[in-house]
Amino acid sequence: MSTTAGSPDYVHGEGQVHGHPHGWRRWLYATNHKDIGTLYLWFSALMLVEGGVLAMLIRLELFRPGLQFFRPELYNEFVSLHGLVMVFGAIMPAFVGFANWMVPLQVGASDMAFARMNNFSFWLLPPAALLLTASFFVPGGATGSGWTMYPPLSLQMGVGMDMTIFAIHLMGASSIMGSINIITTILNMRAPGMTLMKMPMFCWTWLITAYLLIAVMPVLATAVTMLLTDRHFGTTFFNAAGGGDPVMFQHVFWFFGHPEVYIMILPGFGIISEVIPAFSRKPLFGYASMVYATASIAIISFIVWAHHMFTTGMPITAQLFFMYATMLVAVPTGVKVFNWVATMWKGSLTFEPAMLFAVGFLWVFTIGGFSGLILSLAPVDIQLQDTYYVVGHFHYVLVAGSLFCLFSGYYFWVPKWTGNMVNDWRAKFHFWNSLVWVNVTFFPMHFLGLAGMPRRYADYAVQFTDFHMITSIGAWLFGLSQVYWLLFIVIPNIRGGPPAPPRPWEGAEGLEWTIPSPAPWHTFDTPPMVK
Amino acid sequence: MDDPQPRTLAHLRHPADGEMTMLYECTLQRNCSLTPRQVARAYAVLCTMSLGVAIAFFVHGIWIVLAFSLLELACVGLALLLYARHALDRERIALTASCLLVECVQAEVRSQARLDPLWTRVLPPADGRFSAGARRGLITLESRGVRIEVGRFVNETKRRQVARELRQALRQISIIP
Repeated sequence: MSTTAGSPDYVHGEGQVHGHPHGWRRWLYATNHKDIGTLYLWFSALMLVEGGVLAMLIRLELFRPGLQFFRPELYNEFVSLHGLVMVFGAIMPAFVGFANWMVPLQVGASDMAFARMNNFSFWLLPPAALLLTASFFVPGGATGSGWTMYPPLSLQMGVGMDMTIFAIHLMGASSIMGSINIITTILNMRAPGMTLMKMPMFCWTWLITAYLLIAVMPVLATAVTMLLTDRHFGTTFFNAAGGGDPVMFQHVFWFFGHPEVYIMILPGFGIISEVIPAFSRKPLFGYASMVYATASIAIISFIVWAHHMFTTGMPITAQLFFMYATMLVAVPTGVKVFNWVATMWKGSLTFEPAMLFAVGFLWVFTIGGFSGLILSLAPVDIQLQDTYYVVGHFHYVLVAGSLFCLFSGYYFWVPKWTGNMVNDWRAKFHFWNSLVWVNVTFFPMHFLGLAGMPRRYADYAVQFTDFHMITSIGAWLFGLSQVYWLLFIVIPNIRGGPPAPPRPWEGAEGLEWTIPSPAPWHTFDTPPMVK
Repeated sequence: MDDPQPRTLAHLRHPADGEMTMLYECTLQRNCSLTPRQVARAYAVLCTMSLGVAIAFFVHGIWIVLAFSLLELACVGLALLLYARHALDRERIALTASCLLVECVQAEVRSQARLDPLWTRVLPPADGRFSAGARRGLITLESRGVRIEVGRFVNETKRRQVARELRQALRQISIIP
């Protein structure tokens, strides 16, 4: 980790510019990385609400066996849009928001490298979100083919599918531009003395994630473009009647889709690697091994995609290859988990909300990791494919994993964003409710899956009722906990609260803590020296 | 942007006595942590990853990945090129008793101006109201009708500091017998 030779002196008024635009112009024409970061975070919060409402509707339908409220087609639309909105609208933009806010502050840069492109990459997102949401209201409704958009079902959908394809193209372009900005900023704009191996882990994980994004986004663009041409331009890439192969779509999609899973978790690992040392009052254990483990996870993510498709039929040697390659992911991930635990070992621990979420993440993410390891076994996966076991597994990784990382990062850095400390009691109330209800929601899904409950079904056999009821109750309370966070923590914190000092956490290290809270409009006009 | 450095009173060669006293010298440049060569290496790693994936798909008949990959890498390359072209941009101000040398390198294009220090006045950002550079908050140097703007790679605080120090150094010349 890096230390500064001297914190920049912010005399009265310096860093604050009185001539910057106000009102809607400030946000529409935003080029300041902090404003754009805020836009990303608000956008992802809105998408979290939209995706969350869809999840609540799904759980409402599944509370009892039989069809209660929605047609199965509409249920499928809810499931599909829930996935798409959460993946492309909530989690990815949230991490980009964190990167926009924190990367320049952590590397001692005055802004992102391409400020106008940064603005453009954000403003591509609202039209994409509108396309996705509006697809519910067009003839034929939204896509019901799941977030994976498998043909032949996706070839038979109405205009809502085309809207989804365009939305994904827009969000992909936004991600690519965001990645270009992050790569250029981290590589070129680090403060003098901050070598790559002195960079904060959050920047490292984002640098690797941005490389990953650049490598796999063309594959996603290809998959959805081929779908589009199959639907409207007479090609038959995925249509068996025309000589095509629907399974090929799955290969192309998952070649993007599996690295995408790591795109949604690696920046979270970076956040945890910042939070745990701060509240353990110790440097991160095994910094170099953390960097190499992150890069290894990214590289391995390219060779495991077919573990999502064991049941589609593949040679036994291919099954073995993908099985063992998938198991291999556990090695660098294990290195990270052990390093976090070793960082806490004999540390002077305190459990502020950010640390609570980090420790909570360690526990629940490890559960998600182990269930992934179980699913990596081809014979087991063939039994559990498309059951609730898989749903439970990836929600442990994405909700208990990525979302908990985001909450940990929020509580860690929000004093720097708003200049106000969060109400400790409320934040802890939010944590304990989230931790309990996330487990009540997703743990029973494993039992449902083991008992044979298939995913993406609006109805189920009566023997699954109890676990579905528990899951629904857990989901509603988890959802309410997040409404509590938004209404009773986020908004009051923006409006006021105890003023935050420049370094509100005793053990926090890094350039971002050398500037006042809230961070001035302009920071690091002159880069600091790093020892 | 960087701290103006180095500021020295070192002795350099002088046409008359073999040594020329350097009264003031500073280099103003923006911060760039990688040289263009290092950026090229980072870009090569990215291209290897992305093209590796794209060529594998191309070999299996899915050529569209390669098209998207090339488009995307072209965008990344353009962005890095734009940044790298200006990564080594700098301004150098060197003052001796007989010459005020202002050298500017922008996108590898070098321009040089030699001003007479006895006839040079320094207009700090707020004072030179009538020049375009002053409107952008730059330092304006005026000498016998020649007007040069410097300080585009540093912030206003540093510009003011440089303007103050340069004025002080110019005053030193006038009292040299």
